[in-house]
Amino acid sequence: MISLPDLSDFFVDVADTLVDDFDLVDFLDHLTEKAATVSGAAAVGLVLSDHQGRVRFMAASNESGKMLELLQIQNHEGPCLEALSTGVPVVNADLAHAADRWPRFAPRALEAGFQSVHAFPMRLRSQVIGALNIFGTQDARFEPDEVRVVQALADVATIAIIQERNLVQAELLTEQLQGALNSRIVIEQAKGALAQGDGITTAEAFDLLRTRARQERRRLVDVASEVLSDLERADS
Amino acid sequence: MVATLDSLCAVACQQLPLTGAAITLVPSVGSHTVAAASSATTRELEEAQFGVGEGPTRDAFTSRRPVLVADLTLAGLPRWPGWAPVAVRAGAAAAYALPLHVGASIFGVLTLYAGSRPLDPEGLRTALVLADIATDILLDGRAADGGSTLPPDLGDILGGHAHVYQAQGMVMVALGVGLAEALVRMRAHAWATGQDLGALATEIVSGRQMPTADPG
Repeated sequence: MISLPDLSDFFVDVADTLVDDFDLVDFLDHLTEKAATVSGAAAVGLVLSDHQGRVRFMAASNESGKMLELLQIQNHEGPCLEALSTGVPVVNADLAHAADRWPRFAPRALEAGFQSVHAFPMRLRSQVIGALNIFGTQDARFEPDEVRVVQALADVATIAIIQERNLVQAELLTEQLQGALNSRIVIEQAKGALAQGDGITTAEAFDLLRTRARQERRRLVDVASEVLSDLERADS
Repeated sequence: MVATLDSLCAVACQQLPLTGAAITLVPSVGSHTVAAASSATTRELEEAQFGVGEGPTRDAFTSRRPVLVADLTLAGLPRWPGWAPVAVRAGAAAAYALPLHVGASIFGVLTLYAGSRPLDPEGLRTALVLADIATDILLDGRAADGGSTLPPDLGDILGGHAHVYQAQGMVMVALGVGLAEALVRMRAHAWATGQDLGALATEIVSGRQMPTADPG
């Protein structure tokens, strides 16, 4: 169920983020968190498609969201991949009755405690550049009006990607997407290094990075790079 | 390895409508070496960037993302006032600089130059695939020092398996090696123990396996 006060917060927040000092990775990370609040979902995940048409994990509201996205990528099936390849939203899919549609993904998502799933394509003219996934622990159904609202959230993510410098050209879109995908890799490397160094889980390591980035008003990827170069120097 | 990089530049010029291609390596110390170039002119153009202290290759290295400029006279001049005129005089109308990196480890930059015909979206995709291949060659070069090569599996690494990168960070700290070296050790260990890299990464992240301190 969509929460209206949360929705207006979301748009105010997005408008703030889009003006100055914009970083795509931080923005999408934030967007998945907010989308979870607005839609009352247990987890939200976002994937982008790269230059070879491979689906890449980009952001999630929490570790469950990330796990559910990776589960789809590794098994080459699932709602997100369907929305990406068809450009059409997958709405109100009941995981308990989806074993035929996604034989590998559905049972594992059910096992992890999820019941419902929706996936919305991120469309840029004729291209589908990514998809937003909403997972619920109950059989939560979206009404047609709500479907339009959530599709608008996915469209905001697309706009964020193209807004940085009015990305009308293929060159600029490529720079932006490739940069973001590599930043995501830097963040994963830093999570691993921090987890190993401090004896904590990678999820805890991510919380540390995120908290530090927000407190110091820095980009996640900059905090992650700094952590990596500090640990690399300390050890070699 | 230099021969392989030279042939990659040659292949780039065959596959795409280019006036030149070059690979500049970025050693950890900070000095730059043009390791391969399709022609002497291209090599000079590449070296000129480090002479004047500006240019697409440099920007791709600092920003860690592709720098793709389809019109050097329009978009290039204000950005690189010292270097762009040199490039235009040498016959380059467009420059595409692609970082050769895996997350925070950067090995170099592949820079492609085109004449009056800029790359179309399909050409851009081909250029990015060539950069993936160059990254793989450089990673193998580190592993083998010009000797035998490990199975090429960078395609898998780059396929979106976040745990591979997490494992890379863990190995870096556990073995006290550099980040790029950590990935080389993982590949060597996976190869020596007959596992695929993704499976080994899962073992590392869950704390069940760690490559040994000596390269395999």
